Amino acid sequence: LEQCIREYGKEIYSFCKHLTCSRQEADDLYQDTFLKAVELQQKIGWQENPKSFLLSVAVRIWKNRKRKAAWRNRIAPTEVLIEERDVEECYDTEASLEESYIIQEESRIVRSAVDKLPEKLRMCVLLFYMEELSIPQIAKVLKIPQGTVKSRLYQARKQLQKELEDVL
Amino acid sequence: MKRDYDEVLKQALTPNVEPDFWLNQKILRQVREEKRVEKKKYKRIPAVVLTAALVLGVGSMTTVAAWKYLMPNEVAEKVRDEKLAEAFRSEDAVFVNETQSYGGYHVTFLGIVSGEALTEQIQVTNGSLRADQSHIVVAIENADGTPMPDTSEDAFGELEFLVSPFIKGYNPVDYNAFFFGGGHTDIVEDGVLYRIMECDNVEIFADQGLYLGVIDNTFYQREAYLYDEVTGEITRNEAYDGLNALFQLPIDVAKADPVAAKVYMETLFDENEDDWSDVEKTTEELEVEEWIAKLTPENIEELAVLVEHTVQVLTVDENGMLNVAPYEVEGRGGSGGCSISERWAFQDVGYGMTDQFGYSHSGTLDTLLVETFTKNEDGTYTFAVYIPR
Repeated sequence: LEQCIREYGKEIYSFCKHLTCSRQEADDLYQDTFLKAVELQQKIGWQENPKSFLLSVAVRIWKNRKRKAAWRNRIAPTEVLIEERDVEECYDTEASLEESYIIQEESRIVRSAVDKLPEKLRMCVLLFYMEELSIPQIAKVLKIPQGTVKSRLYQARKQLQKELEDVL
Repeated sequence: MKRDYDEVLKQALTPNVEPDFWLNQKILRQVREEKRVEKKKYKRIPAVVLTAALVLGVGSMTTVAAWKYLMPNEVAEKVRDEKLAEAFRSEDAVFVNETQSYGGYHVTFLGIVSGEALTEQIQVTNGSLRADQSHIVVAIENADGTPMPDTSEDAFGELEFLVSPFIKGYNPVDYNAFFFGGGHTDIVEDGVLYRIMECDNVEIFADQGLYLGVIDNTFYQREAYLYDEVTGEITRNEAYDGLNALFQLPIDVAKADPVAAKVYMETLFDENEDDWSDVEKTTEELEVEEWIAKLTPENIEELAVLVEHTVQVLTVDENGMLNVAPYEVEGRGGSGGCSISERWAFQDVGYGMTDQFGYSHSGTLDTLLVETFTKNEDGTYTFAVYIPR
């Protein structure tokens, strides 16, 4: 477990951070992901690709959590849905100081645009560009057909291009 | 000037947010706590007089090894599993008592017994009992003679071992303890760690050749063993830096059941696949996804109709991009225009249409537009939009 945290902690945490758009939610999701992974290890072959396995656990926990939040919202509408959070929280403020201001600023704007994508598209983008999973791997993690992954990536790219047209 | 969005996105999304050090510590502590609570179920009992020599006979090297360690039935008694202890005293139990030393450990494969309901701690997975199991006992000790930490010590939580059966002809990367519903119980007696490992009954594979692997990691390590795709043989990787013991599992070939083995593999594969179902989609969305899943460059003419006025001939710009001019498709509320990286679109194909289709829809088939790119032999590319028939 320690080795897994050492090897994949940063990647899984970054994914959690951009998925939840909240440091506190990311902490919870990250912790629950590793605890659930340990609990599930007797059932699922995560040794085959620990990173994919951890990401699929994170996605599943997040979906369940959101489903519960949406359900709670229906019976008690005063609660704010997680996706309505301020996307500003998604900005990463820990970029390396050695990077030039321009690159930092460009990356910040791109991340902000990614964080504004609908969650289904955002998940595909994060898994493809951040976690560098292949399309078949993403399909397995999200349990959707490969065609759907391609479709979502394509739609995401189009939206991002539109959003970032003036900047890039 | 247009930029390669793939590169920009990769650069911007490079994982750069570190989890807090204390958050990681909290996770590790919590896992250790849970492990320790589980171990406390088993009360420590003073060491009993060794009876191994009486059971195994005298005069062989294996007897010396067995005499040194607890017998499998004694290990079962230590964890208060009298039923399993009884099984290890029966004629069905197989004693191996072979020691291998790698990666700073001596590992001794003590024995195995398989059958229905041999334990008082039957596992439940996905709501079903796993009653027909194999129970394997190994002893692990430090090669330098230092004692293993007791299960109540923090250092015990840092020990990682995987004991796993492997089957000849099945790549251990995919088919190992995790696949076979493995679980284990550890005790430490006189500085030796004893592990009872249980998993689904592997006797049904006896005619194919069975192995037992022991590695010093919680998870299977791809580098620990070599798998020969042609012969199905599994061997130790001599270059592996760590513990990677590999024993032959001596199970009577007469116990093999090839039909049951085939059913088991198919059922378990489906079980693992089904565990992660996605339940969020609407019927219309599923219909769109099913249609998209069927679509290939080969059947697109059969499933979809070309929207002729959307056809554009393109060339790759200086940044490796194919730039599609804005277009509109009447009656579908669709319009587009985009830039796409040629490298991304044609990563898998030479000439012809790439299967990297673009889709645009509002969740129903009658709003779906399929954007296609075709690489022509004259170096140009053709963009065209299709709609479902």
